[in-house]
Amino acid sequence: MKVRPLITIFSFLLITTLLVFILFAYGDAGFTLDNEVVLWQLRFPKIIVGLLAGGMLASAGLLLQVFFQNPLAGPDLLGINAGSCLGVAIAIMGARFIPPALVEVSLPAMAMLGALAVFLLLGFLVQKNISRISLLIMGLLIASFASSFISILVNMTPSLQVKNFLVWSMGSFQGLTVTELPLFYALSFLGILAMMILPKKLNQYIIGENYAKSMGVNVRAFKIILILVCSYLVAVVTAYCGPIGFIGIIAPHIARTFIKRSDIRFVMPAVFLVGSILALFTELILIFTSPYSLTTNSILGLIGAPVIALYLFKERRML
Amino acid sequence: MIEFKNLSVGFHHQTVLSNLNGEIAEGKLIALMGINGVGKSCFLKTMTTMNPPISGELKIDNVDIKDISSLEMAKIMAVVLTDKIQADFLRVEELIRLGRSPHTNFWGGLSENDNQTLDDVIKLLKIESIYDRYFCDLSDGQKQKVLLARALVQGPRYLFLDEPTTYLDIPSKIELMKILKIVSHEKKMGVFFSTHDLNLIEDTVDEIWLIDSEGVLHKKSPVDMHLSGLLQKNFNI
Repeated sequence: MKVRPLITIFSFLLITTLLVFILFAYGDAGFTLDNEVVLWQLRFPKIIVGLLAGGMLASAGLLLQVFFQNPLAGPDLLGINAGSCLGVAIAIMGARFIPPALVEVSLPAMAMLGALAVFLLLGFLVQKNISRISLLIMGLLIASFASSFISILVNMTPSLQVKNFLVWSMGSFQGLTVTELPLFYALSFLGILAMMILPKKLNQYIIGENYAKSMGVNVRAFKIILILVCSYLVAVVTAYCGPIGFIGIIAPHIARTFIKRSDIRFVMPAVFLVGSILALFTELILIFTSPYSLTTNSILGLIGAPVIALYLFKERRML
Repeated sequence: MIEFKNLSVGFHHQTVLSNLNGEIAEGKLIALMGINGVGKSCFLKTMTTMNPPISGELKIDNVDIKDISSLEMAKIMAVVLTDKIQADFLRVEELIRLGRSPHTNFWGGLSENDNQTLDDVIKLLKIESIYDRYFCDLSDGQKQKVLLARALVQGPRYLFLDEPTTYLDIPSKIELMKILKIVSHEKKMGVFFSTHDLNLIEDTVDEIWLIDSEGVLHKKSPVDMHLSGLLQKNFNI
């Protein structure tokens, strides 16, 4: 009975490992394995970041889809990315008002605050029984509100900080330097640990809030934890890699299509791995297309939009 | 024994029904009737502790429900609701196994004992053949049975069902009633369900509870209920 999920997870793990090895051995400098600096200072950080960030975004997408009982939920479509973006925009462009000691922490903190604010707003609307479609439209509205606000900030800020922000806002797994890695590890590790307390309750929650309640879940407390974990995951990734689209929404669908189960204990690791695979695969394409200096988000958009369209087409009863 | 005295039920601090008194004993099969909008669901929601009582007493074995944790409550009562289940790729097996979750550990793994309970319920409801299917592919009758199975493996002493027969065809309705009778009379569970199918329940249930249009709760055996003329008056038959 449990063979299929395990085989699927194992296959995803195999693909991930393969991609890690390829990206470690092959890069912009061609095929090398003996240049220590290239291997450990350039290639290693981006592999680890892609692995963790992709996985965390994908998991956040899964949590959102369970929470909103909406297969179209994802950090980008619901405007949580945008909230995070606004937070970071304020942190970067308002850097001159922040004491220097706090600058390094202010980015993740503001990203988290932005994500949390949007999530709380959405959570409040769900409590008021807003429909699924209205919820998605709300997400779009939040995103456009945030981007207007950001463009006003851009107009009011000296150009150096604007440049910092614009570079960040392109989204990339390569932005982290070796010295920044330890903090990113620690934050990611915490996020992954937090995810691991959720599977049983998520499973109970899949069949609806009332059933979960009847099986002894303290729904209120669970929702608060879910909101915190989810905002945290999105915030950590967004703070370091910029707003990354599509991974959060498509990874859960891809994983489930192969695993064909809904038991979160199997689905969650599979989703995490698919997220990692998507991130690493994008990195690989970036290497092949390096003369054109494409961005991570443009490649993810090219993969992601058709996948969602395909899903919508196949799944008529979803909205 | 679930007892309630002077109970008022409602939602958002608005009272829908008040001055309700009664008791549900283990081993009893009770049907709740009343025209639409009279407050059946509201009453059921309070009885299953999904909504808190507005005022009055609601006790299980002489303990106020406020003093029972939600996990303990999950082992005392289980529910079959009208809520739609939207998960795709949800297998019948996974859904039924969830019912065991109040008894399982942190990861939700099943013990020997849990598996035994599962097997017993599956045999009782004769759903072996659909055990590997996806829930969303099932017919309404099969879905209702699977939801009932999920509630039963929870190992409750009381079972509450919200209009379980509404979307079923006649054979499925009759089958469901038979199962509920077995569950209450042989397994000694207190079974309480709301319904509009008067002719279906008259020969089966121990008591009919009728909420009339004034919001008064009448509790009688099917025969007495018939003689009292209350049903005719309330349903214009």
